Amino acid sequence: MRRHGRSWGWIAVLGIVLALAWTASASAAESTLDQVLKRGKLLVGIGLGAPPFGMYDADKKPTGYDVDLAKLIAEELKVEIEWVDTTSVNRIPYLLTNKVDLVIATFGNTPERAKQVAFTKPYSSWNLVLLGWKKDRNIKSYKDLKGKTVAVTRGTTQDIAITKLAPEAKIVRYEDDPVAMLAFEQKKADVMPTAEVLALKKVKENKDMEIKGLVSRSWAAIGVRRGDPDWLQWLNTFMDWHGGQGKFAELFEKWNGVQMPVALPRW
Amino acid sequence: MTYTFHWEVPLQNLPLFLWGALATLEISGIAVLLGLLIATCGALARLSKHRLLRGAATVYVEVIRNTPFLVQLFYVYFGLVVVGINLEAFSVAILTLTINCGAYCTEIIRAGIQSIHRGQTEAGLSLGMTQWQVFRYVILMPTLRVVWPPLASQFIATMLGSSVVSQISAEELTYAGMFLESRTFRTFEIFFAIAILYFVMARLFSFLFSLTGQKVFREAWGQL
Repeated sequence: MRRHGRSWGWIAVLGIVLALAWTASASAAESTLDQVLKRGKLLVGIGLGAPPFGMYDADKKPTGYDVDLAKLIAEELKVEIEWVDTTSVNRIPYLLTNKVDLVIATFGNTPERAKQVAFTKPYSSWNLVLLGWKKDRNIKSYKDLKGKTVAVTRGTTQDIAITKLAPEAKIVRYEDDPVAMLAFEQKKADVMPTAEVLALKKVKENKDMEIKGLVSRSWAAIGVRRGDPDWLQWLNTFMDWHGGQGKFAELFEKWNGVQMPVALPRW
Repeated sequence: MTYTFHWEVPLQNLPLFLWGALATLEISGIAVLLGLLIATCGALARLSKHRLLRGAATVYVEVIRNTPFLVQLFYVYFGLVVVGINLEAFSVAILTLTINCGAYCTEIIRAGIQSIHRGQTEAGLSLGMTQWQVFRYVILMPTLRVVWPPLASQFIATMLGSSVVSQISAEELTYAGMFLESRTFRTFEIFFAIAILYFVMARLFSFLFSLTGQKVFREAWGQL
């Protein structure tokens, strides 16, 4: 038994060392703004599995609304971009461990997330709708989901919204959007809440699907680490400037083919 | 920009973690027991005189041991739909883990059987033992006695490997942790708690195996 007692002691020591290392890596003296300018490179956390916001083009290069926005930021800072592909699951950890300078990845600025990361003003908005099957006539909205199976990507605004709105539904959570969509298409789930633009595209492709009403409205903003006012201030100034020029409305229409559904804060 | 720890997050959600740990024990426990059964049959098939049986077992072992578990999982979960079998995530998790564990254990048991000298079988038969008695007392029990430690470590590997099944939305300990992470974003605190639980479960597994090993094989040795 003595041997066991000692090994537990070592585990405790290892835990403390790891915890300290974590803290040390997360702290930095100068603002991310100065770091980026000095480095000449912007580390952008992007989500490339969420068309039309982030995806790969035919040449395997990042493209989409979020990608255009990141390029515009880099242009203003006069720095190069290094793309870091993130998922809705790992984007906050990537930000908190300094793997990226900012996250532009259909990142909804919810109050809960804002306890962990800081958000800029929103640059986009969209409607979340319920995608379902025509044959399920008794499902008309999220109110009819008692005992039904709902596919979502874990931790997304869809997940948060439907968990709250349909407490009696069976919610199955997947790692990323393509897997969740595949599970829904294979009828492992009855419905899937998703962005309206994506749902419209799916309904056009598959005549058996239909949209079962609105779930919630959501915004997208740029996420940065908390406690770095200089960096947040610069990004908000950028947002004010380009928002004032109507740049975001223009980019949304370019990629989605429709107007932005909910009006953004006016400048 | 300094990270502030919030250990109350895993502590307040202890019931969720314990529920997840139980689900992990359920998935891996069933997989290990059924896997052992498959492995015993698989090992006999691998050493069989029938070419077809031997071939089938070899294909099974080689395919499973030379492809990643995650790929097997997606293959069973999404692939079987093509042939009209649509299983839910939890069943797929147990099924795939059983098949995976079975393949690795087949090789361990085969090696164990081969370590028993042919002369012992002949000796058993010449003593008037039936085929079944020879299999049970001369081959199976001594084999298990020899391969019990490597089997135990394979079982622990299977239990730890079961964390991957959260990828197809099967609910167990890692899924519980990632769910909480998606709500609180306390990645480090949560994964630290999960690591401790996996460690405790692995120690529990190895304790149980050494205990049953001592009990079962002392008696088996006595009967011989």
